[in-house]
Amino acid sequence: MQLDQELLSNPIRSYLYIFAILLATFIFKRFISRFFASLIYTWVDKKNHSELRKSHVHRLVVPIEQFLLFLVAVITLYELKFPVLWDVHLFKVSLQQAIESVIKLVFIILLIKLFIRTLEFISIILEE
Amino acid sequence: MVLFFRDFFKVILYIIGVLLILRYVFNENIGNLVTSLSIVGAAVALSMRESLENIIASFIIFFDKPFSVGDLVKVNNFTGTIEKIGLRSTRIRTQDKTYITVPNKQMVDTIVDNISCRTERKIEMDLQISVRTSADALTNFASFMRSEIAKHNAIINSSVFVSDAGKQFHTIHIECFISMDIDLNIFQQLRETLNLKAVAFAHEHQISFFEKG
Repeated sequence: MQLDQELLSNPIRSYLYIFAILLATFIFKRFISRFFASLIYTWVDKKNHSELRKSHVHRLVVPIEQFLLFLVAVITLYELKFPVLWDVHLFKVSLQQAIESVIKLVFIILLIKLFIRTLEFISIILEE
Repeated sequence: MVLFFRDFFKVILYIIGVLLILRYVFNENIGNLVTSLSIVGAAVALSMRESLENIIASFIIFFDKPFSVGDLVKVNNFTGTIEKIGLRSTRIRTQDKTYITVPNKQMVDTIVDNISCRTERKIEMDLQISVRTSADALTNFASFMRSEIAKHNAIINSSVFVSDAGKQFHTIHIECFISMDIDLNIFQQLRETLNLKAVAFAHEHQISFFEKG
């Protein structure tokens, strides 16, 4: 199979690169999320209680994972050209515009969710 | 305080989220929206004056700190422990174990007695003695109570004196102040001891207490 062969306006090589990046993110997302959650914990709890860290860090891991995966997916997918075949319009709105709006909506929701979870995370640590 | 600020910032984050969605998903001009919202906001503020007053009062509570979560307070004839200070109201668990909600404005406007902040506990006794009792007997009784009080190291400050000589009864007034470091049970035991000593002395010296009717 030719890697430069085009599929939906993009070479197969590009899809493979994106797949590889997403796979790598999927594998390492837990480590990266744990790192950021620990970083926030250290920033809030100056005394750095290791037992409390273990019991609290997991609260922030899932929202960071979701956000990270979505962010990487969006950045990589934006490198692709929008398929000409999919250039359809529905009620004067192109499919590309509709998809971009949905992506922005999900991005904002995940970002706000992440901030709220971080806020809750900080408040729990400060309370204890 | 942490819970209060968490709720406060959560509301702000939700508002920012909604504005971002309007701006980037629906391509609305937030500037115009915020301007029109501020006009509507002024109208809403007028109609929601009381709620806004409560929110402002909650800020006053947090910065002035007349009480905090866990304090024992007395507000409007209710005595209880503060369980939550919210944006609109303060929740109190009363001594009867009921749960009352007091608007923050009221908590700021009324006199709040923060019992947790007291420095000493007070024992106050009024011994009402029969009018048939002689002055010497009263003096002896007061001296006896002074000596009994002096035996207890927990009592920081005290005063015993004949406060009233009346038609119906004479009164020996006793006031003792005890450090807050002393456990409540010890405080109650001390109070009981003083009362029992007074009764025993009166019985021993044929001093009778005032009886109604």
